Amino acid sequence: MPHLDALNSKYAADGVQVLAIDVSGRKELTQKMAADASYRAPVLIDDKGFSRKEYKVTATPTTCVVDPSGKVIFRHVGYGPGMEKVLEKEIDLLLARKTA
Amino acid sequence: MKSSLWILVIVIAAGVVVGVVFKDRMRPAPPGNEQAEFKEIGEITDSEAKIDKLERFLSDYPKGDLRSRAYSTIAKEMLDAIKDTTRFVGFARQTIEKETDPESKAMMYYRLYNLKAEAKPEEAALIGTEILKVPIDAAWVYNYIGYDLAERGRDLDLAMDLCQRSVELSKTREDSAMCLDSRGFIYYKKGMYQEAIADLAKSVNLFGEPFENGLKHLAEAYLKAGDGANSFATYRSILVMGEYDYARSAVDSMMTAQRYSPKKRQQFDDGLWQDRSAVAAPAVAFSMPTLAGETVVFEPAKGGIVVLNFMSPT
Repeated sequence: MPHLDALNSKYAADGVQVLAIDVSGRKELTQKMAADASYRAPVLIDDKGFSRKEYKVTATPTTCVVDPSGKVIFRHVGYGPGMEKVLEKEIDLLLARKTA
Repeated sequence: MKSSLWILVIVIAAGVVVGVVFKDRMRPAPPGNEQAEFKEIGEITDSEAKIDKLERFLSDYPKGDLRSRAYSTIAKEMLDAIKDTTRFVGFARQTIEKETDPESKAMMYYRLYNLKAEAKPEEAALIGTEILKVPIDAAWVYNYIGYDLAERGRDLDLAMDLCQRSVELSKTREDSAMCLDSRGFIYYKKGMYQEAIADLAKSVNLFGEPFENGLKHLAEAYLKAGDGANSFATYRSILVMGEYDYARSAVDSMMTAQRYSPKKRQQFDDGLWQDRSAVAAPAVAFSMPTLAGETVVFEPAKGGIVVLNFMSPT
């Protein structure tokens, strides 16, 4: 996803990890999409229903921001216009709190 | 006749009666398994072949659970892959006439509406008028069209009628929550703020988990109705969910208007983080393969910030 790649590059130096996890169980389609869009970030494959069970993912995309203490501090369902800005703000605030 | 022969005759007659009465449930098992077959069809890349298989699928499973999804996939192939709008419209109209499954009819109307909404918005409203007369037992399509018309700021009375119908047709809690949210939004657009607040507050309570869009509508309605305190509280609850720009701007202006000191602003933010932490679920560790075949391990609570984007290919 281009927006994930952008997020990845912006915060790589700060040690922020951005992971894309495909929950569709349609690996061939994901492979094709990743090749077409030339993703740089790795796409993880969950074809065992782990995300549904442990992260209550029922609709995609669902974005979870995990804080340094291991909590899903922010969770967004859907990815509308402006979501990238919301995530950046959240990461910026979390980074500021880390150093505070 | 011999008694054993009579017994045979009676058993056969009983079998015939049972067969006639329960014939629908006793038809020979459909070829293969519905779910598995549908998944297989999903892997086909050639559009015409896919459409062909789907039409076969629809006739093989006349009362199947996946009918509306099959129709939806056909729509996608005709509109997005083959890009033949005329063909799709013909197909959709045919389907609407002969289909009895409400979800399938609703799916076709949904697609027809979207086609019009993009190309000829003035005509899109006519689809809305049509489904009010056709009754379809599918709350979501009335909700979808009503809300979309309202968002475009047009035909608010028609939008209201559609949302009214969707509220009446709602069966699940989720359905009611969505439809009340839409109806509340339309009241808001019409300037009927008390009615809007009533619907939106009810909607927000019906949702299993916080619904950002619904809370946004509610916060705006409170503001327009002159209820600053509740508006502020609602924007605050949105901020607990995430750093939404519009919510942050709203509370910032209100704090400025009320001359919040820097200390009070800090207390506000501290409170936000406390609430966020209180409702946050712990992230679960995992180890997953990547497309490239490598393994990525995620261990929470190691002092880093991680963004997990759960997605599926479009």
